[in-house]
Amino acid sequence: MDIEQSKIKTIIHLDMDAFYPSVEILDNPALRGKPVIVGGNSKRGVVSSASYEARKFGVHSAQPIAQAIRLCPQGIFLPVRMARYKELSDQIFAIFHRFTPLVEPLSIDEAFLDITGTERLLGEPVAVAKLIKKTVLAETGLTVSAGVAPSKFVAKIASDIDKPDGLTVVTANGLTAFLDPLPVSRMWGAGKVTQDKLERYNIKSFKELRLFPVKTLERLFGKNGVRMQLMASGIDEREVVTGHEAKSIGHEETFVDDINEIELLERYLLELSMKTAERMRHMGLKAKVIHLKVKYHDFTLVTRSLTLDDYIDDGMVIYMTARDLLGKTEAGVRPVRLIGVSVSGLNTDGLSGQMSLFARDNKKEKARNLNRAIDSVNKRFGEKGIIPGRLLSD
Amino acid sequence: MEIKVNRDSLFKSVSKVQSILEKRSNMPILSMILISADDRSVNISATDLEISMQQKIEANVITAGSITISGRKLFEILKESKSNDISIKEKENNWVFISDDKTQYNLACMSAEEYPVFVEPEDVDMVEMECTALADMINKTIYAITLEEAGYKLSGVYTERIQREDAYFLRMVSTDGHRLSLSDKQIDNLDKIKMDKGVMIPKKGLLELNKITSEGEKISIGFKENNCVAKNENSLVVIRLLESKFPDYREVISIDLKNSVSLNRNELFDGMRRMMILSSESSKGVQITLQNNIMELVSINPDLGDVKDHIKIDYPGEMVEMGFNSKYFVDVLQSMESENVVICFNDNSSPCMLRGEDDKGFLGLIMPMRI
Repeated sequence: MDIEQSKIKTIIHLDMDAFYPSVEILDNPALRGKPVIVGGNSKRGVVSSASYEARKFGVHSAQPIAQAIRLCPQGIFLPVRMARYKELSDQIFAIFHRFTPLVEPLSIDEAFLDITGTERLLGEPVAVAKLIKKTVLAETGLTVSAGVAPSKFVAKIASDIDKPDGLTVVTANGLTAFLDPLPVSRMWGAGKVTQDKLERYNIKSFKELRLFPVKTLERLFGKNGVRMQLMASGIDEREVVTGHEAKSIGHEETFVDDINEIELLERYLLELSMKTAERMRHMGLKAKVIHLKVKYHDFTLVTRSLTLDDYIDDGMVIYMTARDLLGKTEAGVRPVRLIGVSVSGLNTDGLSGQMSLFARDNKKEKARNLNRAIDSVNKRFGEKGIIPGRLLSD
Repeated sequence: MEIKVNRDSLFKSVSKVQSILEKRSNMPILSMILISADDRSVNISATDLEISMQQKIEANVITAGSITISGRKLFEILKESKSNDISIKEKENNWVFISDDKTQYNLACMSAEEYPVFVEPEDVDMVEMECTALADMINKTIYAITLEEAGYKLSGVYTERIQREDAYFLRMVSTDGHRLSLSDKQIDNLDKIKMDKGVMIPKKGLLELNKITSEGEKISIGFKENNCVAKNENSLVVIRLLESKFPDYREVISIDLKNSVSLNRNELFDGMRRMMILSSESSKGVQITLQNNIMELVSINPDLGDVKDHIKIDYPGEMVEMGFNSKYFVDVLQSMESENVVICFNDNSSPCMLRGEDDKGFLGLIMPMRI
C-alpha cells in the first residue's frame, strides 16, 4: 500500500470542545470559567463530560461521580440534558452538511468530513476548516476543534492536539514529521495492556513503532500489530461512512462494578435496545441482524448474533432477541463488565414496505405508530421522556 | 453380522440415506449409518434424530446382526469400488471388514447398540397416495417456508385433512407471513388414518419425502404421535413433526376479491424475471399497473436504473396500481403448470390470489408491498 498510489484524501475531524459543559455554560453564562461537570444522576453514575476548568482537577469522562466529587468538591455538578444537546448537535451537523454530504457522525459532538476534491468550490482545506469553525461559533456560540489530514486516524489525532478551539493541519508531506514524535498512547486501539507490552519492547513513540520489524509486531500483537504500524506510518485507508451507509448501529455500556445479576443485565439490555431502536428510526433505517456483545470481568469478549426474517426498528424486538442471545452467554455465571447491543443488515425504511398477510401486521403497525409517538415525546422532553416501566426502578 | 451384497444397490441406498447425516454433529453416532441384516434382507438406516430414513435391499445374509459404519466413508468406499459385489463382515471390538475383489478395508466403527432407536412403524394407520400428487404438493408449497416470522415458527408446511361433502382432501399450506401457498389433493380413504388436527412437517423432512416420491408410483403416509411416516416398497422415512403454531390462514384465503384478470403464465413469468434483473436485496419491488387492457410492470433500482415491460390482457376496468415483490410471483408461477393464470385482486393493500385451471386445488396468495 503506497500512499502515493491512491488518491490523497482530505479529511477533517471536528470535535466539539467539552460539548455538554459548554452547552450548559452557553445557557447559563454565570458558569463561565467554573469547573462544570455533567454526569449521571445516581450514585452509580459516571461523568459524561467536564469543562476544561474541571479537568485541571483530574476530572474526566467515564469517571465515577463519587470520585469526581472527591477530586473537585467545588465543582458544579449538572445532570445530562440530552434533548438540549441534541438540539444543538442537529444544528451543528446541519452546518457540516453545508460543506459536504460525506459526514460521518462518530457521536453527538464529533464527526469526520471528507472534503476531498472541494478545493475549487470551497478553497484550501485550511480555509474550509476555518470557515466551519467560524460558522459553528457564529451560529451556536460553541467552539469546535478541527484536525485536517489525509486520513481519518491522523485527522482525529490532529483535532485533539490543540484543544480547545484548535486547528491542526497535517499535509501528506508532513505526515512523518507529525506522527513520529507522538507517544504510543495516542495509538487507536492500543489500550493499557498493549501500551505496556509495546513499552517492554522499548516502543514508546510512533517512530519506534513505524521502524519496528513488522514480523515481530505481527507475532506479538497479531493483525493488530500490523495495523498499528500502518497507522503509525500514516496509512489509513478507511473511508468516511455517512449515516446512510452505516454498517451497524448500536449502544454499549461499561459498568462501574461488574454485574452478576442477569435481571440487572436485562434491564441494561432493554435500555440499550430502546436507544438503538430510537437511533434507527431517527436515521430512517431498519435492520435484520441483532448482535449482542458481552465483555466479562477478565476482558474476554464474546459476541452472539441472530438474523431475523424481517427488517425491524422496534426496540422491544431488539430487546427480546438480545435477551435470548444473552442466554447463550455465560452472563450470570461470569461477572460482566460491558454489555452492548447493535444491529446490522440495514435497510432504508421505505423499501421494506412488504405487507403482512396476518392480523399481526396490525400489531406491527400499532407498534410503529407508538414508536413514532414516543420518539417525538422524547425529542421534546429528552431521552427519558417515555421509557419502559422496567427501567424506572433506578 | 456378515453379508454379501450387490455394490450398485448398496451404493444407491447409501447415497439416499447419507444426505440426512449431520455433518457437524456433536454426537459421533449420528455420522454413522446403521446396517442391520435379518434372514433375508438388509436395512440401511440413517438418522439426525429429526428424520430417520431406511432403505431395504436384497442381500446374501451369511450371519444376521447389526453394525454401524461412518456414512461418508462407506459412501466413498462404494464410490471407488469397481466390483460387482461387496462383502461386509463384523469383527471383534466394533471393527468392520469390508472387501471387494481387490481391496480390503478394516474400519474402526461404533457399536450398533448405541444407535438411536427407530420408531416402529408397524401400528401406524397408513393411506396410499400417488407419488406424483405428493411431489406436486411439496413443490407447490416448499418455497414459501421461512424460519420465523412474528412469533410463529414457520419452518415447515402445515398439513391437515379437510372434508368437502363426502370427499377427503390432504391440504398443505406454507407461508412466510407475506405470501401463502396452498395445495389440496383428494385422496381416497384419507378418513381412515389418524389425523385429527393439523401438523407441521419440517422443510428438511419434505425434501427427503420428495426424494422417495421418485422411486415408484405409490407411497403410503400416516401420522403417529409426533411423527410422520412415509413408506414404499423399499424405503421408509420417519419425520419428527414440528411443535409450532401456524397462523389462522383460513381467514386470509377466504378474502373476497372483486377483480380478476387471466393471462398467459409464461408471459407473466418472463416479465417478472425481467423485473428481477434490476432487483437487489433492498428493492425487489415491481409496480403493476392495469389499465386499458394492458398490464404494465415497472421496477426501479435507485442504484442501477429502471425496467419497464407490458403484457396484453383483457381488462377494460378501472386503473389499478399495486406493488409486489417480483420474487414471490416468480416462485408461484414457476411451481404452476397451467397455460393461463388467473389473478384475483382488490387494491394495493389486499392480497392477490393466483390460480390456474391445470393446477387443481392450488392457490397462491401474495401481499403487496408499499412502493
